[in-house]
Amino acid sequence: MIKFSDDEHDAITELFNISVGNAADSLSKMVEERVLLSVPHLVLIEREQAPNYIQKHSSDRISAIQQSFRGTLDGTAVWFFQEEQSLELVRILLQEDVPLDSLTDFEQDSMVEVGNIILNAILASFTEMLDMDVRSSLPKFLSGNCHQLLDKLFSTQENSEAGEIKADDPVMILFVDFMTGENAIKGYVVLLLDGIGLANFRRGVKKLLEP
Amino acid sequence: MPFSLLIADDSKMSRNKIKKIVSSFIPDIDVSEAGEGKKTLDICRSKNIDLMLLDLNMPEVDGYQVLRTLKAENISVATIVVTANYQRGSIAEVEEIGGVIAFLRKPPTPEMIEQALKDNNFIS
Repeated sequence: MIKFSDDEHDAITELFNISVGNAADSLSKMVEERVLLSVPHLVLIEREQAPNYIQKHSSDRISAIQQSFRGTLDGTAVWFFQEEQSLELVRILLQEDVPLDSLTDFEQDSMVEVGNIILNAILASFTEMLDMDVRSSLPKFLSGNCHQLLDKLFSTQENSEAGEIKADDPVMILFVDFMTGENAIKGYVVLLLDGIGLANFRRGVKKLLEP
Repeated sequence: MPFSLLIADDSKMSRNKIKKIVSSFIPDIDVSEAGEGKKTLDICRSKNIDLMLLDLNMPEVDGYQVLRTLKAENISVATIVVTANYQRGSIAEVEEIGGVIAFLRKPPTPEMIEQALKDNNFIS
């Protein structure tokens, strides 16, 4: 099992902080409004404990944009938010009021695009600072029962093709809210890396901490 | 008297990096560090600071509040903002408060800091 030291925890938080700032900048350009951020809060938790932990901080139904990546780091990045907040996202983007059950393909597509921009901005900043290179797959929109979605996402079996995954490997969860005008999208970004990815990631973080 | 530098950032890693970069340009330096806004204000009130490098996104008392409080208390500290929150709106808010001599995007490179120090005559 990999455990991060306090200095590594600090460095990872700062990596996320910078990355999320860049993501907010990209989102701000997209919605042509200032995007305020809460101070990001990072939680490092064992993979098998992550679903329960997230569930405690979520509503029964959640939406997510999921994006896998391959390269120096192999893994998956997911941006979670409460299902009803996907409507806020559509309102911010399209400046339209839309009931949840009538989300059209176009609106879902818009959400995927926002997720794509946010996750890619985070991944790009992350890998640039760690001097690594990854290529992202197409993002997916997920919505439904929190428990089922999380179980599927965190299952070591489902994700075993991505490389060796241990139940006690750490998962990075960053709680951060994006706010524009009167709207706030409360959510969190989860970074799941496989065994090799985690080892490479740690090497990169250690390099950043070198005096 | 050594050059008095204050680095206000909630990340120890970022403080260390900034300290290393600035020290490479200004060798005779006295560095104070703060991981949050309240301590930043305490240091500014108690010491003569030649230059502060300030992060905006800090817990509880953030960088904007630090700048506003310093302004309200008539404490003048040359400040370089170093932030990941590099949006036009953030820059505009900081400019409106005033007292900031440069605005740098995180992570700052040695070149970015060197330029800001040169532009403001801290080094030649």
